[in-house]
Amino acid sequence: MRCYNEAVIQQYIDKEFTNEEMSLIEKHLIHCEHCQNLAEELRERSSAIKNLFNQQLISDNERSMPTFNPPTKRLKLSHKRIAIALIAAATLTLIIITNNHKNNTQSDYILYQTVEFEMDANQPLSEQTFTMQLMDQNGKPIDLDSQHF
Amino acid sequence: MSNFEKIYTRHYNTCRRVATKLLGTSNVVSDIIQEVFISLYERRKDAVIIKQPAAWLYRATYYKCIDFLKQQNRFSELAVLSEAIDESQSFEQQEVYSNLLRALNTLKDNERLLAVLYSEGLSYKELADATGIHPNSIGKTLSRTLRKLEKELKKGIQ
Repeated sequence: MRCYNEAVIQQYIDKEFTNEEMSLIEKHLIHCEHCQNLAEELRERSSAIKNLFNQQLISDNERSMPTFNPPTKRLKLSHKRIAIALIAAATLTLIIITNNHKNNTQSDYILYQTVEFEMDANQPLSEQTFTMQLMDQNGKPIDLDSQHF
Repeated sequence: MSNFEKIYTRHYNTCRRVATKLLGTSNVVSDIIQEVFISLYERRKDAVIIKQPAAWLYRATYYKCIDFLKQQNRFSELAVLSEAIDESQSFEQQEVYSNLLRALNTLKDNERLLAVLYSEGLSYKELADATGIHPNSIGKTLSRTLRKLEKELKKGIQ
C-alpha cells in the first residue's frame, strides 16, 4: 500500500477524518514504519509550535474579561453642518429682535424734556410749586389721569 | 442576555489570545479587542456576522493587529519587535518570543492567521471559515505552514 503524504498525516494527527478514514490510516501505520515516524514527527512539531505560541499567554492569563460598553451614537460635526447651524441661529435671532422692536414702539413714550419755570430762590423748597406737562411724540398733551403707568 | 452579549462572552478570550500571540502582552491588545467588538456591535445585523460570528471576529482581530503593526512599521523593522515583549518575562523567554514573531513574519497573511488559530485548537472547519482556505485544503496548507514555521524557528536558534 502506498504511503500517505504529510497533509494526510497532519489531518490524521489532528483527528480531522471520519472514523472510517481514521481506522484506515491506523491500519496502514501499524505496518509502515516510515509513516509512523512521520506521524510522530508531525505530532511533536504541532505540539511544540502550539506550546511556543501559548507560552506568550502565561503573563496575560490573569486578566479578567471587561464588560462591554456599547458605543453611544455621536453626531459627526462637519464644517458644513456647523456653518448651516450658525446661519440658522443668526437668522432666527434677527427675526426675534425685529419682531420685538416692532411691538415695543407702540407703547413707548419718549420724554421731551423742556423745563420752564420761574422760581423765587428765597422761598423754601416746600413752598415752591411746578407743573409737569407730558406730551406724546406728536406734541399732543397726555392726560395723566387717563393713562396707566 | 442578548445575542451580542453571548458572542462577546464566548469569544472575548480567544480574540484576546489571538491578539496577544500576534502583538505580545502589549497594552494595546485590550484596545484592539474593544475596537473589534465595537465594529461587531455596529454590524451585528449583517447576515455574514450572524452566520459565522467567530470566523468574522478572528479575521477582524487579525487584521486589526496587522494594521497596528503596519502603523508601527514593526513588520519591516525586526529590531523594533523587542518593544512588543513583556519585560516581566525572562531574557530567554523574550528571545524565544522574538524568534517566534520573526518566524511568523516570514509567512503569508493566510498562513500566519492559520498558524495562530491552529494553536488555539480550532477545528479544520473553523480554520477554513476564518481563513477562507478551502476546507479540503486545510490539512495541506497547515502542514506546509507548520513546516515553514519550524524551519524559520530553527534558523533563529542557530
